Amino acid sequence: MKKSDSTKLKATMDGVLRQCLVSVSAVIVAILLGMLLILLMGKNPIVAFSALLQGAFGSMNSFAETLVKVTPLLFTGISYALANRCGLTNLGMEGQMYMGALAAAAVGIFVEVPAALHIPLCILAGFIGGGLWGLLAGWLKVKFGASEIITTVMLNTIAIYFIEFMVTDPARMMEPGGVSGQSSPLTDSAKLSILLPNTRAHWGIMIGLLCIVLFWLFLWRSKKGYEVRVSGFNMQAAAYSGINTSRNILLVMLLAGGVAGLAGASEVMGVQGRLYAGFSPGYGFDGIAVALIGMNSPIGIIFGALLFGAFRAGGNRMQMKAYVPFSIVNVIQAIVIFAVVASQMLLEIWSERQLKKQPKQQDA
Amino acid sequence: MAFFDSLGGYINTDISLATPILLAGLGLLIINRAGLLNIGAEGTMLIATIMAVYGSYISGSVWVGLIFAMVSGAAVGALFALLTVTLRANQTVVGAAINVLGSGLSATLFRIMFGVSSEVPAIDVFRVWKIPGLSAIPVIGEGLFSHMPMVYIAFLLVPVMSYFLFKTQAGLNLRSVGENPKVADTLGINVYRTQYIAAIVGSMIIALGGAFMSTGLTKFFSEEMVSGRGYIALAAVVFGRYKPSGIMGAAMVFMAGIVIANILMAQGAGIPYQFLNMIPYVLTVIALAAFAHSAVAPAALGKPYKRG
Amino acid sequence: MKKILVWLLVMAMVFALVGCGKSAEPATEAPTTEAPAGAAPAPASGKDPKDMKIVALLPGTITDNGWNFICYDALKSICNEYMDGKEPEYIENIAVSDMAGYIRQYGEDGYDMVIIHGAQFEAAAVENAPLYPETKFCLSYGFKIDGSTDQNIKAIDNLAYVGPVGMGVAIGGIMGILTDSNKVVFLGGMDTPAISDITSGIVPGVKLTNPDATATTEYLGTLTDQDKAREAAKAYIDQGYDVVCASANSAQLGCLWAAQDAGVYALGFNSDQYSIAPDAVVLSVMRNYTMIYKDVFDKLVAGEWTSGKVAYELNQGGTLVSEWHGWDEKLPKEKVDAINEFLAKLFNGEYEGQY
Repeated sequence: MKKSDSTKLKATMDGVLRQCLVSVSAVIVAILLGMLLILLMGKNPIVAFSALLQGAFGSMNSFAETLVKVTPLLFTGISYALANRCGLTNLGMEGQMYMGALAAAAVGIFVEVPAALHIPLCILAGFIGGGLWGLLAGWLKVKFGASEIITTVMLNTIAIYFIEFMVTDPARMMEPGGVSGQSSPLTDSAKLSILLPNTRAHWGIMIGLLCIVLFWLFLWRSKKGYEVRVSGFNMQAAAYSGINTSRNILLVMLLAGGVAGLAGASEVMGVQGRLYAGFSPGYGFDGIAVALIGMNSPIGIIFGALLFGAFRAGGNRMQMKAYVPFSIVNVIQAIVIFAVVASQMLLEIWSERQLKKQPKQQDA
Repeated sequence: MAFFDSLGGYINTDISLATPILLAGLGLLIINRAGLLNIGAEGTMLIATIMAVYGSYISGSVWVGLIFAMVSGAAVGALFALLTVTLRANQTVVGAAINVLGSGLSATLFRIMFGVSSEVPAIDVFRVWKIPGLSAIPVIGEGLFSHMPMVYIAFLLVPVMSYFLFKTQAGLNLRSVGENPKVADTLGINVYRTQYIAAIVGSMIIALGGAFMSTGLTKFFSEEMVSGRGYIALAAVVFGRYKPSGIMGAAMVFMAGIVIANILMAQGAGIPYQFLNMIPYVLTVIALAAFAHSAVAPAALGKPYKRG
Repeated sequence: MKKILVWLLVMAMVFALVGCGKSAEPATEAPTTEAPAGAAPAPASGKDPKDMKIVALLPGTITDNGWNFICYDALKSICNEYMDGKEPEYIENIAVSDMAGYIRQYGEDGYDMVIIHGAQFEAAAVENAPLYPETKFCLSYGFKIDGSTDQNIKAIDNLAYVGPVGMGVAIGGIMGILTDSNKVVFLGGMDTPAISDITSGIVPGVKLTNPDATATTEYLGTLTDQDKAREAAKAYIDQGYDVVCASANSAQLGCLWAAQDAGVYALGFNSDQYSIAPDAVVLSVMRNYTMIYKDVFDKLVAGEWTSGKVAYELNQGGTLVSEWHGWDEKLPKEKVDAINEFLAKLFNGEYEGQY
C-alpha cells in the first residue's frame, strides 16, 4: 500500500517535472520569438529584453512593482483555475474584480470600525461582491443553460460601466469636491500596510499566497473539492454518480468570483486607497494565461503570476528603452500562451504515442 | 409622426450597425457547426480592421483592403485550427489568446504602418449604393435599400449560408463533423480537413466584419475599435439558435439596443450614459438566458476530436 | 499534409513580418517641426537643457488622435528644440493604479521634469511627488470654469497643476454663432476631468453668443468606438441639432464623419481636424499643450518654476483656434465676422466675469 503510494507519487512527480520543463522551455521559445519580432521591427531585442528584466527586477523599487502586479494576478489566476477544475470557463474575472473592489471600497469608506475589524470586513465584502457577480453567471448557467463563457464576458462590461457610474457623481461615491472618476479615500483603518518599506508592495500578496494554500486544501483535501474535480473531468459522469453538479457549479462560481473579487479588494485597500473608474489594466484577462501556464496547479499559478507580473512591470521600461510600442507586450503574451498550449499538447500526444508503443514492445 | 418620419433612418442605422456582427456571427457559425468553439472573433476582427485600412491605403481600392483583411482572417483561422485541431489544445484558451494577439498586433501594425500623427489619411472606403427604384420607396427604401455594398453582401450571405448548411452535401458533412465526428469519420469524411477549412473560411468571414468597420462604417482605424462586437457576435450565434437567419435577427435585436440608447440620449431622457452603454450587453445576457434552452448547440462543440 | 501546412504558416508569418519591418522606415518619419538653432535661453538653473531628463506618463496610447497624442507632440517639440531632436521619452497606457509606481521610478532616476498627463492621477501625484523634491512634476489638470476644481489643488513645492482654462467657452461661443436651428451638441467621451472641464464651459459659452440656443452636453461612454460615436451624433442630428463637437479621442472622428454625411457643421478638437471632414469641420479648437509644456520647461530652465495652479487663460494662448481653411469664404459673412469678433473679444479677456 505504502509502496504503491510512493511509486505513484514518484510517477506524478516525474510527470509534473516534465510538464514544468516543457512549460519553461515554451516560455523561452515564446520570448525568443518575441525578440525575433522586435528584431524584424528594426529595434534591438537585447536592449528590449534587458530593459524588461531591469524594469521587473532591477532595483528594490522595480521588484516591489512586480510584486504589486503579481498580487492581483494570483487572485485572478486562482479564480480561472478553480472554475476550470470544475469544467467551467470563467472569463469574468475582470468584472468580478470590479464588483469586489466596489464592495470593499464601500465598506472601507462608509463603515467606521477599528482596523483589526475593518480590514477583515473589507476583505469579506470584496469576496462577497465578486462572488455574487460570479454566482450570477453560475445561476444563469444552471437555471437557464446560458453559457458562462459568453455571460461572464458581457457581465464584465456591465460591471465596468457600473463602477464608472458609481464614481462620477458626488451623490454616490465620488469624492465631494474632488475630481470626477474617483471615490473618496478609504479610511486609514481599512488600508493594507506596506510590506517592503519605501515601496508600494503591500500585504495583499500574503493574502494571495494564503488563497493559494486554501485553493490547494479545497481541491485536494476536501470532499467537495474532489467532487468538483470529478465534475471537471466529466460533468455527465459526475452527475450519474450522484454528485449534485448544479450545486457545485453555483458553489464554484461563487468561490471563483469571490477570489477574483479579492483582487479588486486588495487593489483598493493596498494600492489605490480609493476606487477609480477603469482602474484595472486587464488583470482579469491575464488570469487566464496565469492559470494556463500554471496548469491550474497552486505552485504553477505562483510562477505564472510572477511571469506576467514581470511582463506588466517591465514592459513599459522596454518600450521606453528600446522604443518598441507597448502593444508588443500583448503580442508576446499571446505568443507565450500559444507556445505553452502547443507544448502541453505536444507532450500529451507524445506520451500517448509512447503508451501505444509499450504494449507492442511487450508483445515482441 | 416624427417617429414615423425617422423610422426609415432607424432601420437603416440598425442594419448598418448589425452588419459587422452578422458577418462575424456567420463566420462563427461555420466554425461552430464544425464542432470548434472559437471565442477569438474580437481579435480576428481587430487584425482585419487594420489590414483592410492598410490594403485600401496602399492600393487606393477598398476592395483590395477587403482582400488583405480576408487573408489576415485566413491566417488567424489557420493558426486556430493548427492549435485546436492538430494539437487538440483547449479552444477557449486559444480563442482568448487570439483576442490578446489581435489587440496587440493591430496596435503594433498600425504604428508601424502609419506612424504617430494626428493626420488621418484619406483612404478609399465603401460608399452607399442605393438600389435604383427600390430605394425610392418611403421608409423601407431608406431603411433597406440605401446601404453600402458590404451590407447587401452580408445579408445575401444569410440565405446562401442556409442553403449551404442545410441543402448541400458539403454542408451536411460539416454539420455531421460538429455533431458526431466519430460517425462522420467512419462515413469517410475527413474530420480534420473539414475543421481546418471551416476555421479558415469562417475566420475570413469574421474578418469581413472587421474590414467593414474600418473601411465602411468608419473611415480609418483606431485602437480597440471593435469594442466588444466580437463577443456580442458569439451571443448572437447562440441566440440565433445556430441558424443563419436566427443570427441575422439576433444581430439586429442586439444593435437595436444601441439605436434605442442613442434615441434616448438625443432626446435628453436623462438616463446616465453608463446605463445607456450597458443596454446591448444587458440585452445579450437576457436573450441568452431566455433562449439558451431552445438553442441546440452542435453536440461536439468545443470537444477536440481524437482519431482512432 | 499537416507538415506542409505548418511550414506554409510559418513562412507566411515570416514574410508578413519582413514586409512590416520594411514598411516601417518611411512610415515612421512623422513631420518634425523646425528647430531654430540656438534659440534656447541661457540656463539659469545651472543645468544645460540638453542634459535635462524629461518624461511623459500617459493614460492612453499616442496614436489616439487626441489627449495622449497632443502630449507626445508637445514633448517632441521640446526635444527638437532643446535636445537635438532626441527621441522623446514617454510611457503609454498607464492605469490609475500603476501611476504611483512610475512616479517613484522616475523620481528615483532623478528626472528633472515628469509630465503626469491626466487629472485622474492627481491622488498619486499628491502622495508621491513630495518624496522626490529634486524632480518637478507637472500634472495636466482640467480647470472647470466655475473654479470648483481649484479647491482640490494642494500646495506642494514640486507639483504644478497645469492646463488651459476656458476652452469650452470658446467652443460654445463658436457653436452658438454657427447654429441655424438653435440646437448645438457637445459630446464628451467619458466623464473624466480632462473632458468635464471642457463640458463645463459649453453652455456658458453658447449663452454668450446666442442666448436662445439650446446647448446639450452628453457623454458617449467610449473613447475608441468610432461607429457608435457616429451613430450617436447622427441621432442628435436627426433631432435637429446642426452643430456638433466632440472630445473623445479617436471616437470623435465618428462624430465628424456623421456631421459630414448629414451636411451639418462640426468643430474639430485637440488638433486641426479639417482634413478629416472638410465639408463639415469649420474650425478646430485645440489645447495648446505644445506652448504650455514648453513654457513650463522654459521656466524650469530659467529657475522660475512655479508650483500650484499654473493655468493658461484664453489671453495667454492656452487655447488655439485653427485657420479657416477656406470656410471664411463658404460661410455667410455675418457668421464669419461674428466668430472673428467673438474670438477677438474672448481672447482679449473682454468677457471676463461673464461666464
